[in-house]
Amino acid sequence: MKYCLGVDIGSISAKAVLMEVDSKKISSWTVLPTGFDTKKTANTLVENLIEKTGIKIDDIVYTVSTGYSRKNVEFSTQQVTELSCQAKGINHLFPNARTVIDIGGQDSKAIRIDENGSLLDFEMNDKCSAGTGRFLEVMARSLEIPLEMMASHSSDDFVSISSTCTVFAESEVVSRIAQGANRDSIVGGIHQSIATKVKALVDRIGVKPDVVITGGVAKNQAVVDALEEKLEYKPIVPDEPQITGALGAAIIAAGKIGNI
Amino acid sequence: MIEKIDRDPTERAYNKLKSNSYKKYTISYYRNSKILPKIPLLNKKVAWVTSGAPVEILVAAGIMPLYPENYAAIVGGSKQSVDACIIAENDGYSNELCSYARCHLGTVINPSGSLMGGLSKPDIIVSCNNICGTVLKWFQSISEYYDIPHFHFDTPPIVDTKLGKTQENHVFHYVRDQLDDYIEFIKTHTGKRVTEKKIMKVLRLANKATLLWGEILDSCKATPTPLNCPDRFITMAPIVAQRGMKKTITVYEELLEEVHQRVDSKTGAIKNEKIRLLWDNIAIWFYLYPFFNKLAQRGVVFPVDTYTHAWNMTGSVDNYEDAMNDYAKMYSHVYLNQDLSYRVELISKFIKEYELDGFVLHSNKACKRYSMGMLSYKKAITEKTGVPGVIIDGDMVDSRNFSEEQTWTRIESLIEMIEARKS
Ligand code: SF4
Repeated sequence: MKYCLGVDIGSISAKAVLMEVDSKKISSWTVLPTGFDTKKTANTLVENLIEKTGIKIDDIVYTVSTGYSRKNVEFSTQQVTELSCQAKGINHLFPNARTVIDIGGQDSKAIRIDENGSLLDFEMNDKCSAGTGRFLEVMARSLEIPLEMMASHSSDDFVSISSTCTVFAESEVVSRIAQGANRDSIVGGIHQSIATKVKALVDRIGVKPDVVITGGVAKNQAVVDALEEKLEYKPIVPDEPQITGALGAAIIAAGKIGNI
Repeated sequence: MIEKIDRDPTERAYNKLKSNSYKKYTISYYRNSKILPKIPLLNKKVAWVTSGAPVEILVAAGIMPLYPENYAAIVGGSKQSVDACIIAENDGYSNELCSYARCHLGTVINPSGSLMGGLSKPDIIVSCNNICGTVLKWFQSISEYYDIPHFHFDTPPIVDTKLGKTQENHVFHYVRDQLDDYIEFIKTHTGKRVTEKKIMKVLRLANKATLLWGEILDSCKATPTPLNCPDRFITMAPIVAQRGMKKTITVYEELLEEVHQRVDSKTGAIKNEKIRLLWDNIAIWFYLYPFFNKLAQRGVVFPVDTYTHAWNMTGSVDNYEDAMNDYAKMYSHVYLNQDLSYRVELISKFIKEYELDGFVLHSNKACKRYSMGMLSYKKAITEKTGVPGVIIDGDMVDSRNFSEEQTWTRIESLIEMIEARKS
C-alpha cells in the first residue's frame, strides 16, 4: 500500500499525519514538542509513525512539509506554507468552512477559504506574541496553572488585562495578584484578551461562516467560548485541532502522487 | 505550491546590469561632497535636504545637496544602520521614530564611527513635508544641533474633494509664494545668488533626466520585464539625489539603452519569469538582494513599484513663471502627499498596465505615512482588480523590526495563491 505524509513543524509542537493514498484515510498521526533540533524532531515523528503502523519507510511515496521549520524537514518532497495546508485540511474535514482561525504557538492567522479549500485571503498577527499560544503559556506559568487546566479555571467574572504586550501583561497579572484579585478571574481576563486580539485579526479579512478554529489554543474551551461571543458565530473545533495543518499537507501530498 | 528547487541555489537567477555609471557617479558625488567644501577658494556650500524637497533651486545656486535619507539607505545597505540607530536611541530618540531619522541622527552624533565619516556638515538645511511630518522635527533637531539655518517648505496635503483632486487655489499660492522665500533664504544664508536663467537651465536638465527615468520605468511593462525591483532601487539614486545635474542625464541614457536592448532581445531581469508582482513602500535595504534573489529563483519578478515611480515628475519648462507654478504643483502632488484613494487608483492602474499577478505591501514600521491605511487599500485594490495582495511587516533600515521567517510565510502563501489561480 502507498502512503503519503504531512509534516507540520510549528514553533512549539511538531505534528505528522500519515495518509493512505488511495482511500485518503488517516492511518496514524503523532505530535511531539518541537525542541530546538527540528531536523531530529522531524525524523522522530516518522519513526513514531512507522513504529505505530508497522509500515516500511519506502511505502511513503510523497511528503509535504509545512510550518515554520518546513525547510528543515530533509526528507520532504515539497514545502507548502501552513496557510495553504490549513485551508486544505479544514476543507477536507468541513467542506462548508469559509473562515479558519488558527491560533498557534507564535502566531495566529485568519484565513479565508473557498469551497475547494483554496486560499482566498489571509492575515497574520505581527511580530507581537499577544493572541498566540505563547501568550497563554507565559500567563499559565505566572499563575502556576498547568496549561491544559487553564480553561477549567476560567471565570466569566473576569478582570480585564489591558496590556497587549506579553511582558507587560505578565506584570499586570502579577500586580493583579498582589491586589488580591481572584485567580480564576484573572484567567478569565487572559482568555478574553486573547479572544479580543484574535477577533481584531479576523475582522481584517471579515468573518464568514462556517468558522473553524484550529491550533493548540483551540483546545482551550474558554478561549473558544470567548471568541464565539465576540464573533457572533459558533466556531467548529476539530477533534484534533493541532494536526489539521499536517493533515492538509498529507492531502496535498496525496494529490501530487497521481502526477508523479 | 513551491516545489523543491532543482536548480543550484548558488546559481544566479537574475541577469546582472552592465550599466554601472550610476554607481560611479554616486560614489564620486559623495567623495566630492567630502572634499570640495573644504577648499576655501571654491566657497562650496552644502545643504541637507529631505527626499521630497525642491532641490533644483539649490543646484541652480551651485550648492551641493546631500540627502540624509539616501545616506541612511546606504548605511542600511552596508548593515551599519542598527548601530547608528542605537546611538540615536541612547541619546533619547524614541525607537518609534523613523529609522532613517534615527540612523542619520546616530551618524550626526558619532560621525567618526560612521560610514564615510558621516555626511559632510551642512551650511543650511531644507525640509519639505510633502513626504511626512517627521522630517520637520528631524531637521529641526539637526538645525539646533549644528546651530544652522533651516528652511521648511510646507506643502499641505492633496485631498480628494468633491471637485476632484486639484489643489485649492489658496493652497497653490501659499506653496508658490514659499518658492520666492526659499530663493531669498538661500541668498541670505549662503550668499549665493540664483538667477531665473540658472533655475530654468537646471529645471530643463531635471526634466530631461526625469523623462529618461520615466521611459526606463515604462519599459518595464515588457514581458519579460527588463528591470526588477533591486535594479530600480539602486539606479534611482541620481534621479533623487542628483536632480538637475548634467551627468544624471548621461547615467540614464546609458541605462535606457541597456533596457532597450533587453526588451528587444527579450532578456529579462530574471532568468525565468513566471509571476509578476508590484512592490509598495521603501525597500528593506539590509535584506534587498537576499529577498528579491530568493524570489527570482522561483520565477517571481517585480516590474513595478510605487517607490521609484515617486520621482517620475515633470513640469513645464517653457518660461520662468509657468515653470515655477508647475514646480509648486509638482512638489505638492508627490505620492505620499496624496490621499489613499490615489494609491488605490495608481496601484490598480499599474496592475493593469504591467500585467501583474499580485502585489506586496511592505508595512514599514519606520515610515508611518507610507504604511498607513494599508489594510484598507489592500482590500480596495483586490476588489478593483481581482488580484491578490499581501502585507509584510518590516523596516527599511532597522533589522530589529524584521522577521525573515514570518515574511517568507506570507510571501510564499501569496505565491501559492497565485499559482493555484494560474493552474
Ligand atoms: S517617515 Fe517615511 S517619509 Fe518620513 S522621512 Fe522617514 S522614511 Fe521618509
